[in-house]
Amino acid sequence: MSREPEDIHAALAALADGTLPEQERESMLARVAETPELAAELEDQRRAVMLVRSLERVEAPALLRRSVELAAKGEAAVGDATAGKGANAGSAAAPGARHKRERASRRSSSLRLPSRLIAGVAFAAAVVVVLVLVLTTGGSTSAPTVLQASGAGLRTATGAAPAESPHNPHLLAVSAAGISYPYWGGKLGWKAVGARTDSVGGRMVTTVLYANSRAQRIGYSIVAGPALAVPAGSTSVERHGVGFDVISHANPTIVTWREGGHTCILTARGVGAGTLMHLASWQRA
Amino acid sequence: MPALDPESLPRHLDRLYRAAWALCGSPHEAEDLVQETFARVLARPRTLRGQDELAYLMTVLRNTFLTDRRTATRRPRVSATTIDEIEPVDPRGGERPEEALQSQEVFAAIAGLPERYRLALVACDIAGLSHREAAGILDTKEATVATRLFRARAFVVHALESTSPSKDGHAHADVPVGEDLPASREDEPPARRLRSGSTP
Repeated sequence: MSREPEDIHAALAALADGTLPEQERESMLARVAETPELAAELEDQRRAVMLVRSLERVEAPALLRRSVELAAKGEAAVGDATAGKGANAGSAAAPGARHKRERASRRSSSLRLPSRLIAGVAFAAAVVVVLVLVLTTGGSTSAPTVLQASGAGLRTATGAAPAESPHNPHLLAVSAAGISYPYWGGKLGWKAVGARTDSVGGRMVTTVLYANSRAQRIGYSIVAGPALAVPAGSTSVERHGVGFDVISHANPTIVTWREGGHTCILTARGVGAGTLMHLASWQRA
Repeated sequence: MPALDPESLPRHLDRLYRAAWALCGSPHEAEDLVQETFARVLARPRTLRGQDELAYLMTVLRNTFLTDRRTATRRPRVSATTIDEIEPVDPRGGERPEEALQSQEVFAAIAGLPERYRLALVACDIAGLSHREAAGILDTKEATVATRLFRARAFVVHALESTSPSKDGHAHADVPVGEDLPASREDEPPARRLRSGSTP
């Protein structure tokens, strides 16, 4: 009985991954044995299956895993991993076991919102919550780590993109802790695309998000209050008189430095530490 | 109908991450895609309608990927891989450099497939779904999935065979990848004439 080439291809694919029904298997193998071209194609299929299955050794990055695990437990929104449990200071901790539907409902309130309008309202509300917390508690007695604060730079914007400063072409018309955010548009190619404010460990972390034409993103976070301790094991680099510390070289890349007594952090995925330090120091060059 | 248990979802993370990497062609974009997928799934209670958890997550991953592609925010970017471009996949993974290089080459070859072939291969060979489950996700026939799988695998093997070490010891892909196929021809081979194309 002759078969259409497409049927043969489908059968070879199923034979290679072991899903061809037993009753068809013998006849197909017999046909392959008679036809060198089919034998070669089956060999290609088996090699491909083996190659693709070799990818099973690739595991998800640790930060992503932590992010998903926290979100699944209802302790944080997806993407909050590096900010830790303190990232959403306004949300109450789960008091013991609750019904899963309630947990899912609570999760929905902390996940990203689609509408620009709702995002704007959420941003304003977050600022109010953070201000209330800072004013009423005077800040936390235990400062967050740089790694925790850097998590804000990987999250999505909740506020509109800041405008360029009408007075200084090198700056945006927004600042935090007395530090103005830079304008990296033009030849640098990084346009401000949004902003967000978080409370991490009781500290206000204000972030401006930049993006380039390849849709890569950088989060520029400024942590209110005294500068945070630099983690052990980071790499210190001096550029144009500024001491940078590279906390992580990749996945994500995290670079921090001190300015005006505060901690500034650049966080990005797929962007090298050199690029981050170049951007952070270009005005000083 | 059973409800999706959020706390059981992390056990599918590695598989979804690999699927996302193969779809996007970039580990960084894969992270974003997986985060977005989980954010969508966890946004409200979910009911499994005849699917198991993995098939459900793959459906959301695929839909999220396609939605993002339509808004042109995520495209597969395939380039020749060199040792210099290798970044640690995951320190916990313990991959040796040559294994990491091979993994990146395989991911790049898959990401270079036209979308419908890529989706079939990702669903079956990376996510581990059956042809029937993949057909459900891709909204097509089981036989069509198998045929696309055949072509996808042939392309991947050919692309990797054509990736040969150069003088500097780095691997460079010397076959074009990422070109789409004629939409009207399911039987058109993606990279070469298939051997059995004229076999009765």
